Amino acid sequence: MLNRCQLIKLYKILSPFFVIVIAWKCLSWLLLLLKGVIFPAPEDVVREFVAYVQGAPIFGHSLAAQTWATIKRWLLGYLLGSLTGLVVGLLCAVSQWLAMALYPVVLMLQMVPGLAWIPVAILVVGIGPETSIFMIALATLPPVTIGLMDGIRGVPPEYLYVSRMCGDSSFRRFFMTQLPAALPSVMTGMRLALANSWRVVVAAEMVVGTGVGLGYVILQSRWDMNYEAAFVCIGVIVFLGLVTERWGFGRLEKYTVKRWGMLNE
Amino acid sequence: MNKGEVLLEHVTLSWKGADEGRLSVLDDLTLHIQAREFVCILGPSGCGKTTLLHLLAGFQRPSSGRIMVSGKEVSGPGPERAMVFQHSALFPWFTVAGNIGYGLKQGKRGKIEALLRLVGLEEFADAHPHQLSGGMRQKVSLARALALEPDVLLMDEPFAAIDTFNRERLQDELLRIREAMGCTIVFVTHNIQEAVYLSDRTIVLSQRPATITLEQDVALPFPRRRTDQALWQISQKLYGRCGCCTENVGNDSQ
Repeated sequence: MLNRCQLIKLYKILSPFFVIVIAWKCLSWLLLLLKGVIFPAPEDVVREFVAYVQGAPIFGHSLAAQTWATIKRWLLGYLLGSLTGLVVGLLCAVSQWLAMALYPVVLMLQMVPGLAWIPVAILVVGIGPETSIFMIALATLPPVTIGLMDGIRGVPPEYLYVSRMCGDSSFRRFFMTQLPAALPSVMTGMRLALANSWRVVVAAEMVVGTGVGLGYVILQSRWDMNYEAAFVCIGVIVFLGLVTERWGFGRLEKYTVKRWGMLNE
Repeated sequence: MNKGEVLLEHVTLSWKGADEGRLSVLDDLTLHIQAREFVCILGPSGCGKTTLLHLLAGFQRPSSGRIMVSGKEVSGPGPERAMVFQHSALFPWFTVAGNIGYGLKQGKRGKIEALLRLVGLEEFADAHPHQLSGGMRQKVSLARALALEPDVLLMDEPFAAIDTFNRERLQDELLRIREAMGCTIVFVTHNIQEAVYLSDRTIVLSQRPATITLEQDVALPFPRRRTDQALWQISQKLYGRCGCCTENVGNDSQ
């Protein structure tokens, strides 16, 4: 038998799914009753999902191929954006003059909604997989740079005193003191960037005809009236987002800032 | 001038105030501290005690006057003037051993071990600072400062945030360690008993702008007893002589 503690744990994991399934079921009944609309119920979507997993094609490719296309695009864009964002942040941290010139630009970039870059992206890289990668990178860069900058600016002055007292070079001070002290803020920036980029990858696939990818499938399913496929893709998107968040950043934080007691929880 | 000797000559410090005028923090301080002397700086909160330590450490420069330590003018921070901060300022991303050895270049391991033994934290070498109590953290902070083999140890209200029992224990450990290390100590506090118990000489600062209102020698041999009548008499005298401090009487925790 399960004890009380385990039951609570189980409840914590399962209850959100119950809420989703019940709300969903109610919605599909209501729509059928009031408007005569056939809205796919959870069990239809699960059946469809199982079929896709068993190898049924979904708009010309397997579900795995569609998902992989999105992941690949996202990963490339996110890595590109994060790296550029960190480099820009480092430049700003190294030189006040560069910071004065670059930081406001990054703040402005931050204000541009991801999809507003579509015309720009098409002009710069044309239409193709590069378009969405370009857009994802642009959505990733600002939060990463801002996170790094804010982190470096917020380093407690005592840490810098200690570093100077110990006779650090500015190079050692930066990597041994300022950067680790800024890490929680950098992580927050990268998390924000993750959410940003994940939204952009799906939206970009919808608009820029990529021919393959979860966003593309969601949009195409509208023409085919294959709404189950759309729901399957939404489910996959949510799942992937949660996985990167929990297993990616969760792990990273556990071994760094949480282990060091730098997060107050 | 001997190694560990400290000399402040007509040191003043003022900042640009809000309304055109200048905010005077330290006003014409002149002070001579002997090598190996333990001097406590006593004064009310906000009177410029910490600022005075920052000047000695070289984190700040005086507006005028000069500060000499071991015969050299202070022009910036350096390992010969190591500081212990009020809130320890340990790096959370390093272990206890990593923090103690932060400023060391060679012979790291042996030195860290010796310092851990000195402050009695051998078992905590691999712990991270957030896992330690406040008192232990201050011991690590002290060990980190001692690792630099300073001529002068600067301590900024290091035990102010620690409960009375542990504070008294830390005070005794500090006195023991002082015997072992033999560096000059400048110790800032707003606690009169602490100042009298620890120091060879207590300097009382006035409200801002800080000037020296009293220099009190505490010519009692170590080890001292906290209940010693002579110690009490000196404390009483300080209570009476520095009105600015009476508000802090019995204020143990902060």
